[in-house]
Amino acid sequence: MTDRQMMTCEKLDGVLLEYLEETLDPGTRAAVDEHVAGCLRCNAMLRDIGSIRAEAAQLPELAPSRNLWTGIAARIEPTVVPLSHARGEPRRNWIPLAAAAAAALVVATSGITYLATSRSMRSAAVAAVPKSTTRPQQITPSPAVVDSPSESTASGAVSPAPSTVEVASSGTAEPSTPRPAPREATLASRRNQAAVSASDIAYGDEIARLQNVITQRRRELDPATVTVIEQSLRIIDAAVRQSRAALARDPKSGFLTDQLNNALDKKIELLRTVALLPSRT
Amino acid sequence: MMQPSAPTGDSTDVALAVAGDRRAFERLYHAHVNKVFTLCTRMCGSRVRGEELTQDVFVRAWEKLPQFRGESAFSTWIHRVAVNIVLTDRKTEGRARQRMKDDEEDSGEDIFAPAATVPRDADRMDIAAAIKGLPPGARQIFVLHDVEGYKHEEIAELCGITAGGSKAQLHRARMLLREALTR
Repeated sequence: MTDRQMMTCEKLDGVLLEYLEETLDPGTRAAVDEHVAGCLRCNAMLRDIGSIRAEAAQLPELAPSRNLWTGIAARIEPTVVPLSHARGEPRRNWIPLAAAAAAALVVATSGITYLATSRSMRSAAVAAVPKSTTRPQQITPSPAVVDSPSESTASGAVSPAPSTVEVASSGTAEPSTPRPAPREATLASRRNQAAVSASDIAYGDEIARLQNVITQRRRELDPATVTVIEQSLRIIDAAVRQSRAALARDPKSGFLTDQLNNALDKKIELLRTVALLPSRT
Repeated sequence: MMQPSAPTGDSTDVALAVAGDRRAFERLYHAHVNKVFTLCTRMCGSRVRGEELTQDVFVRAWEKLPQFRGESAFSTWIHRVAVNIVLTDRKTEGRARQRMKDDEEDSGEDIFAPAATVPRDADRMDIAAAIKGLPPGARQIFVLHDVEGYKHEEIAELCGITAGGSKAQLHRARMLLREALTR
């Protein structure tokens, strides 16, 4: 056998890889085997490599030193926070807090309304505005934004923004008819309705008072201003209506409650501004 | 490659996890975390980095789970995800850090040259410690072939090298280990 006769340590190093992979041709393989049997160096090398392979294949499994799941779970959580809280999580009841905050805000700022109301009453007393013989310019929301019956005033004037009278108010406004609950409304949502109503009443009284003032001042205002007010009220009323609809579906949502209160705040702010507007010249 | 055993109940949890059930995925995590961590740690040579990579593996697996078609066992699939994560990590995050070192170690001019990173102790070294001391390229090929049971063709595909390159790296790793273990 030529290969067997010529096999040396150097040659074996060259074919060692194929020998271990068992891809050598039979003749060369036999030459390697014969050489290894009589060569201490190559024999030790093959024995050591065999031992390494065996030990490597038997290496034990390792375990992490800490619980890695916490970090993984945090990374695979949805990045978008759902409006409705995840099941099982403690839920903060926003509704009473929001209602209380709304009431506090209304009380704290009612001085402005008082100022506007007082001014309006003085004006009415001094001017003794007669019963209207000409129909006052009306501020009427588009049908699309009317979601509650119009408020009728004693004077026969039409409320600037009927849709604003959605809640009970003292005096001239009729108590609001509860919004029909959506089909999927739950008992919990009906319970929360009471808390929402507390907020609504706080805003509703304020809104009703301001609307009375505006009704009395209606003819004093510039028609162009009236148009702008009308448009603004439509937008705000649409926001109020949408917030209420969303709250009906998710009555515990703090976000939606805040949205509703913000819209009502805007409405009061606008009505107060209008109530304090100077008369047209 | 070696076929990791598929724990009973994997298929149910996989189906649930594909549908978005994180609790099912957590069960899969507990069933496979040690194998994944072992692979990551042995391939990268660091327990700390191995833990980080293990987390990356399961996050990636969660993201790619909808693509898992069940053609192989989940254990095989996540094993491959782990290998890819470790190899990608070496190519990206560790590129700048290891470039100079790798250029020296993986140039392949003399694959039998002893690596300075292989510890040489007077006492016989534990093979695990010796593997840890291998140059990254040689270590990864050795772990994949001699520890995990991948074939050269599979390694070549995973690592983007030739089967011959894989064999050469393996041989280099074995010789380095022998040197470290017998001194």
